Order: sequence, then structure tokens, then C-alpha cells
Amino acid sequence: VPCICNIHITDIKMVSVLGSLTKVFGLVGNNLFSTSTVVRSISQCMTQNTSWKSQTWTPLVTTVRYRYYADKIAKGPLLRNYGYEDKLHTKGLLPHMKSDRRLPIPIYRPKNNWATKRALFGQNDYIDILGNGTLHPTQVCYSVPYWLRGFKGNEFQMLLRKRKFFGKHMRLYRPSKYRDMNLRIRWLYRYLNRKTRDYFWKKA
Amino acid sequence: MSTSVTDFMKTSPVYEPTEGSTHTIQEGKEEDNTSFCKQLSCVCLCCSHLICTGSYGVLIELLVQVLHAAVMFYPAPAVSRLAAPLILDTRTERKRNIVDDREAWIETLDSDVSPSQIGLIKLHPDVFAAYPRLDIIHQNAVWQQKYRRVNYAQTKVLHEVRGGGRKPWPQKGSGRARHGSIRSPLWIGGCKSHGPRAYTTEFYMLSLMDRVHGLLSTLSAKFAQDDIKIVEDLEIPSDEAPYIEKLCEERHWGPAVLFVDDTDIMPRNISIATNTIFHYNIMPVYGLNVHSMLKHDTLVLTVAAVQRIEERLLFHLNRPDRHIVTSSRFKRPAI
Repeated sequence: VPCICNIHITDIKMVSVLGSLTKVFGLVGNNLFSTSTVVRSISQCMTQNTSWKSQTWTPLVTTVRYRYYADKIAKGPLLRNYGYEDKLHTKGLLPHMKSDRRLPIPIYRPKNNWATKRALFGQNDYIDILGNGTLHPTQVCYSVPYWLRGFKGNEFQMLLRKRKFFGKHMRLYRPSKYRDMNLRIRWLYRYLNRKTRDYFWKKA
Repeated sequence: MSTSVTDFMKTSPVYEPTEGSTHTIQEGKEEDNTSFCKQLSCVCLCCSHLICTGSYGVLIELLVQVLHAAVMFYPAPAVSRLAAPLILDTRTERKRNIVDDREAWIETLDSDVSPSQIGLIKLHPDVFAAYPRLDIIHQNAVWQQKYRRVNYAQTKVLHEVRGGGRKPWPQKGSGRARHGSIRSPLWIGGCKSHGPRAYTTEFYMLSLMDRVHGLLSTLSAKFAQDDIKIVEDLEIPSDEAPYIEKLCEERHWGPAVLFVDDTDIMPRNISIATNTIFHYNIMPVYGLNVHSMLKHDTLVLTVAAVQRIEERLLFHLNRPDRHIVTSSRFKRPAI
């Protein structure tokens, strides 16, 4: 609040009232000259009445949204029909909108089809035919985890295989995971053997 | 008027043309034979698992210096730089059913030699003139893509989703639908009933003969379309990439070229030249496969590679235990 010398301030409440009034009139920090004139008029009003605590005193109340028209324009147009989405595009290729903003179209990044792994994909798949016959393609599947090479099975079979390979290690170093795996195995055993049909027993 | 390989090798390293031949010996070729190519600081590209790729260029430069003292001699192939003409016929027996042998030029990768064709090779029709079965080629290509695939996708099951142990409201009285857990598949934020569960493999094995016929069909199709070029060896005079690029451009070898040799230790120059060019790749014979043959437009085989391929595929076509091999199911290796 700027220091106003013209007014003799007795009451603290009067200061706060004056401060709020100066803000309402949009005078904070800028025009000290105008401040002084306006405030003087207020003080003159005040002094005319007996005291601002008496019931007969009514403050001058003026409702003003914007002190300056420029501020109103700067804020923008009045928002009407809040929540209504005007669907301008109804046909054709529509932009992917999410909460009134278009989602960005991702930049196209083509794959390098001649990267080493893609250029040499499938190498050694016929090593048992074209090699000397000692190696099988499953033995050279290095991209596949070693416990899954040459394996195909449902989740139950896969978990049993996983337990066979890693059970001992998991018991010591991943006890919660081991417990969860066992629970899952048990659940799958009951589900597959008691709740579902496997249609294999006829062939046995 | 063709000589067998064994006779050829027994007599002399230089092929003497028989009478009636229209070609002439090019002099000066014999000198090239010893000085040029065989004293190489060759680079071992194969790791312990016998997988060879021609593209580990970073290692090559280091290893060349390391191996400078210990020079590894590239084993001289059966066909070395020789005087033209050179006609190779690997079949010693003649079959009753007369199917014409297919013939192909033997070329050089040395652009100084003109013309580039230095000989003729006869190819076995059972390997290079088999009927190209497109369905078998497709089967093989799909198998190659699928059998090594592992799906790591996983969705959470009821007991794995955080929370949801308590019954949200009593069974009766509230007027709402009955529920046992807030993480059931009916709820938002709940589990997925039959979603993917990690480590799903699509492994399966095609039978041996299916894969053999896949190779035969692909080789035959490529040969019929003039996409197979036979070369005496993979020696080139310079180790610069533009050399091999220019060579392939001049000869209209497709955008992508696959060089195949019998060994996995490739000559130095071609390894370095093709290192930076990703669509020119080098492979040993045991790495040859249907997918790579389809991916690369031109297949460049050395004579040694052709001999090896023919021998292997004919062996599998005519093996005495074929009926056992085709009927037996694949047994997962015991671990």
C-alpha cells in the first residue's frame, strides 16, 4: 500500500479500508497524484459524517468489474454456453481431439530395414541341413531366452518349466515372486484339470 | 567336353583346354594366382557359436593389426585364378532320367579382368531346376519369422492387481449389483480375464524335407530369374566401399546383394568394403536361408559354395533314412 501523507490516520481499520478502496479503483503502484485526489475526497466524505462506526453512515458502493476497458478486452470475449462442444467437423478425415486440443500427429520414423539384425534375419535357420548336421536351429536361437528355446506350451506348462529352471534361485533370492508363481501354478492346475475340458483323454 | 573335378584337381592346377576349344589361354594369369590373393591377413569373424556375419567392421581394423604377424592363410578353393576356359561339372554319374544340367557363368569380382566371365559351371537340376513351389517357400518364410518369436506381453490377473481383497459392499440389502472385489474384470481398473500371459512362444518345427524343399524351390526360382551369380571367390583388389558399389551397379546386380562362401572366414577386402554398406551382406553356406534369399535381390555364390550346397541338398534328398527323418517328431533338446 503506498504511503499516503495527506491523510491523518488514526485508526488501523481505516487504513485497511482505504487500502482496499484504492485497489478497487485500480490505483495500486502507479498514479500517486490521482491517488491523493481520490483519497482526499473520501476523507472529506468521512470527515463530514460523525464516525464510520455509526449506523447512519453508509459507504459509497459502486460495482465496477473493470476499471479500464482495455483490461476487459485483454481478458477476452465472454464465455457463453459453457460445456457445449460445437462439432464443426462431422465428415471426412477428422482430427484426433482430446479435451478440445488436437493430438499431435506423430512424426513418421521409418524402420531401417537394413539394420544388421534385419538384414541377417533368419541366418542359421537351416544349419542342420546346410551345416554338418551336429547343430539344430534351436541350439542357435540366441535371441530367445535359453529356457524357452525349442519350447511351446500354455501358461501352466511354461510356469512349470520356469520353476524347473529357476526354482532354486527364486526360492533364495525372489521369495515373493516364487510364492506367487507357485500360487499361480496351483490355481492353473485346478482350473485346467477341474474346470475345463482338454479333449485329450479320448486319445489316451 | 567336360572334366570332372577330381580329374581336374589331380592333373594340374592350370586347366589345359582340350582340342576343339574355341577359347584361348590368357597369359599372365598364373602370376596373379600366387601373389595376389592368398597371403592375406584374414579376419576371423566367427564367434564361438559358429555364427558369422560380415558386418563386425569395428573388430576388423583391430584384428588386422593384431593378426599381421600371424597371417592366416585363406584356404585355396578348388577353383583358383586360372586361365579360361573353365568348365566344371560336379556330377560324376549320369542319371537315367535326362534332365538337362543347368549352366551358369563363373565370374570374377575383380573389375580389372575383362570380360568378367572366366568359366562355365554346370549345376545340378535337382537343386537349381526344381519346380518352385510357392506354397512351400511361403511356409518356410513364415516359419522362420514365427519359430523364434517370444511374446513378452502380460496382463494382470485378479490376485495380481493391487487391492481388491475386500468385498466392496454386503451381498444383499444395498440395492446395488453384487460384487466380490473391486478388481474383477467387470470393473474399471480391474484385471483382464483372458489376456496375454508372459513368455508365449510360437515355436514349431517344419519337417526336414519341408525345409529342404523350401531351399530347393527358392534356389530354383532365383536361378530361373537370373538372380544367382556364380563367382570363383570373394577376392577383390581394394577394400573400399565404392569399388564394390560400382561393380554391382555396372553389372546390374540388384539393390541388395548376398555374398555366400563356403567358409566363415571371409577375405579381408570384401569384409571391410561391405561393412559400411548394409544391403551388401556376406554369409557362410550354413547361414543360407529362405528369408535372406528373398530379402536380397541378387545371390552371389562362390563355386565352393555351390558345390557345398549341391552336396548337402542332394544328400538330404537321397538319404537312406529319409523316411525316418520325415516321420519323427521334433524332440526338444533335453536340459
